[in-house]
Amino acid sequence: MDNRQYLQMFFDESSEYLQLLNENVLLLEGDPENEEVINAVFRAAHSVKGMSATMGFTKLTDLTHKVENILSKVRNKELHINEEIINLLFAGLDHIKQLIEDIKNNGEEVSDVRDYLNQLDDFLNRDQNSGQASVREVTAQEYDFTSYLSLSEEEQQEIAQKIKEQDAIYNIEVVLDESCLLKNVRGYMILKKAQELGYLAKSYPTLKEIEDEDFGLSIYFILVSSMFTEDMEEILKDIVDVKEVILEPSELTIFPAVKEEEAREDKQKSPKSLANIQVAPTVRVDINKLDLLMNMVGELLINKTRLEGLKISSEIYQDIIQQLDRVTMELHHIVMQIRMVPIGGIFNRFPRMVRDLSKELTKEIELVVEGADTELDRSIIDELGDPLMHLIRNAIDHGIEHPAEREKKGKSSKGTILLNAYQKGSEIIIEVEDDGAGIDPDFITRKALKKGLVTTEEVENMDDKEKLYLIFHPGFSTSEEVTDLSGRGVGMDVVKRVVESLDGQVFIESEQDLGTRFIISLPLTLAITQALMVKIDQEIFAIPLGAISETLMINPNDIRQVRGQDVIVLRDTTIPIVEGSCKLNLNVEYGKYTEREEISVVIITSGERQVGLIVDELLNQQEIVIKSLGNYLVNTKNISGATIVGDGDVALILDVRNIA
Amino acid sequence: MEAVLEMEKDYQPGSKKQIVIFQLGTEEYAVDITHSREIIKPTKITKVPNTPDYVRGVINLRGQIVPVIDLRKRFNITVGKADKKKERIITIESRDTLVGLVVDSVNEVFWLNLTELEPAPEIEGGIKQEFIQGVGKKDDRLLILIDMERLLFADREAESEIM
Repeated sequence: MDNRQYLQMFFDESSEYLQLLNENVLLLEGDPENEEVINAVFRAAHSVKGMSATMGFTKLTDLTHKVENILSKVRNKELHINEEIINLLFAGLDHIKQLIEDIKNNGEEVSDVRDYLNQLDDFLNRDQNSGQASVREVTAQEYDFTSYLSLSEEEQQEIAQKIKEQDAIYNIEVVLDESCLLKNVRGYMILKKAQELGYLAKSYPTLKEIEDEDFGLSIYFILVSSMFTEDMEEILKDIVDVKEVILEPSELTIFPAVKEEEAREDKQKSPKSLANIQVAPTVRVDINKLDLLMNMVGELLINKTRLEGLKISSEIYQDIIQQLDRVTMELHHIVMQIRMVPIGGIFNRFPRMVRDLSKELTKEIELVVEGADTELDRSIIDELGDPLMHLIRNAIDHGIEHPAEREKKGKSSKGTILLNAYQKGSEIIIEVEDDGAGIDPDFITRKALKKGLVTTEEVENMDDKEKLYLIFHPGFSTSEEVTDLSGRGVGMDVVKRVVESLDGQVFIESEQDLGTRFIISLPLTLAITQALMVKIDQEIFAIPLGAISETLMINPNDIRQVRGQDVIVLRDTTIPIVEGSCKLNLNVEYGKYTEREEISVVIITSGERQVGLIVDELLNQQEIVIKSLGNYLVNTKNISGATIVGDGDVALILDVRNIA
Repeated sequence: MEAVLEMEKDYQPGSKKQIVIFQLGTEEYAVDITHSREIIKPTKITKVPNTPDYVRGVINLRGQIVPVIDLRKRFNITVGKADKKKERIITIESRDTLVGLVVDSVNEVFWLNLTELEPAPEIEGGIKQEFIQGVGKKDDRLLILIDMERLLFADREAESEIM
């Protein structure tokens, strides 16, 4: 069988289950008696096993099977959760993850997990002695048929409704093979088959329990049928993984009752049981298809804008344009919605990391996650994992102090890292905040000087804030002793680069001994945005609205000079002004704006910096579809992309971050 | 690595390659037809600031933004006056990027016998040798075959390494 088409599904689902497992095992560590969590862990582990078996990955199947054994003992209260089990489980999850990675990278399971399997066996054997008594008890019980399947009064009446002259009632036990991997599927098949053979009065486990795989190796049921026992036995034995079929006539004697509604009830019965296994009505869609869809919506938008530009003074035209406007807006909105996924998807991998690292570093750290349901464009989320991981690692490694040190400072010995996400206007804000030591600006500058990243003169002109931002300098790594966690040279500059490549920004706030907060702001979506169109030297440029705080018309008399730089004073703030044509190196004479009567200025905000950009003319505000300039022009200074405006012309998008 | 393999494949005896021949100044140049997408008439080009002078700007090609390079400027060709009416843009795809080349005119499409392809001689004052894949002949006309990937990305990469 060619499994390749299912591989992607396998990777997607297994990583989801692994995530779920990690989360729940973590929960279990804090709340060992929570049966709901134990069941959730068991089910997830079981699903992974089933998937691996279906795909034919033997090592993975074996491994998950063993892990599942432990879990099953925990569930049956034969084992009690302790640190050893939790550590074993976590180690197991890591091995499973490794094997899946292997398959992803090499197409086969390369890693050797034998050591771990032995470890598991040892553990289970060690435990065997204490658990044996209870195991035996269960075995003894299993063969007591009637204790499982005693029929209530109503059920007996039900049988009386169904039973026909030549029918007999049977007690049947079907025993599955121990190596059976898909017990729920087999069990389901057995009961379905039984329903074909006659009327299935009652079963233990029930169909629902079988779906949850909440049963041992035997399935018991009472069947009302007119078939010969040998035939039934043969049919049931033909089902894969069935080891034994024990069939005996029941001692029950029920006579057929008068019945009219038999046919109808039969019909009702089967769809009902099928309905139980229906999956949630969702579809998995290739992200590329969504990108394509987004592109098409972009095209539609461009053409709509072109249509609007026609300015035909007909009532019908106005009507159509309005309708079209509404439909495209809605369509855009929906496509964006589809692409949005909750950021929790990446937040969820951090609790485990924080646990492991804080143990390793003997620090006490609590991770608080807020706003995990905040939604962001899928393509942005995928990129965010690594930068966030880096920030959290930094907070654990450099931020939070050791318990003794914290107590000396008068703080609680347990440090807190807050991971928070929320929407603010058209931006998504993600904060990583710790209540640790804070960043010492002077330490940063000393380091930067030592590494030759800045000169002494440059440092003299810097305030504390600017000094902090030196950590984003490529090649800057503050870790004195290089640990396994952070300080591997690939540092904060990577965080900054990734965030900026997503059209976002990173800020730092830090207070000595109080803590540090990293703030990442990101656009809601990358593809379409509102922009102000301006004219500079006869060309039209787009400035994303998110970066603009306001636009002004100023008089040349308003311009002041500070250290040779033209500035304006706006509500008591001094804002430097720069000429757009100068920033773009356009071939025109600079400084001519002072001769104009009125000067159009766009106030651009980037972080805490503000700059007034002088343009020739302010045009309209419109929705633009952001397009890349392509590989060839990718690093063009002060230009971040292009868009297509009404008449099919290209307008460039100003990269205002670098201008401000 | 791939380029080398491609070359070896190309140089098999008797193999032929279809090329697009175009005019730049007084000389005839050519690109492999498998690299070229289409030939279009000049449309409105939007200048892009902060780019080398041989980048004329970008055009809107059915919704896609395509950078356009002036090959005359790229190769420092000053001889001969171009007839604006005959000017064309050849779009080239290389490394998943579409780039337009402004040429004086497109002359013809031709099957070039690869055995006749000779290594590039150093041409004085003209195109750098490293951008030439070889020189071919059609009757007594010389055709300079351009290595598109080198032309588009070689010096760009060098630039970014320095940065």
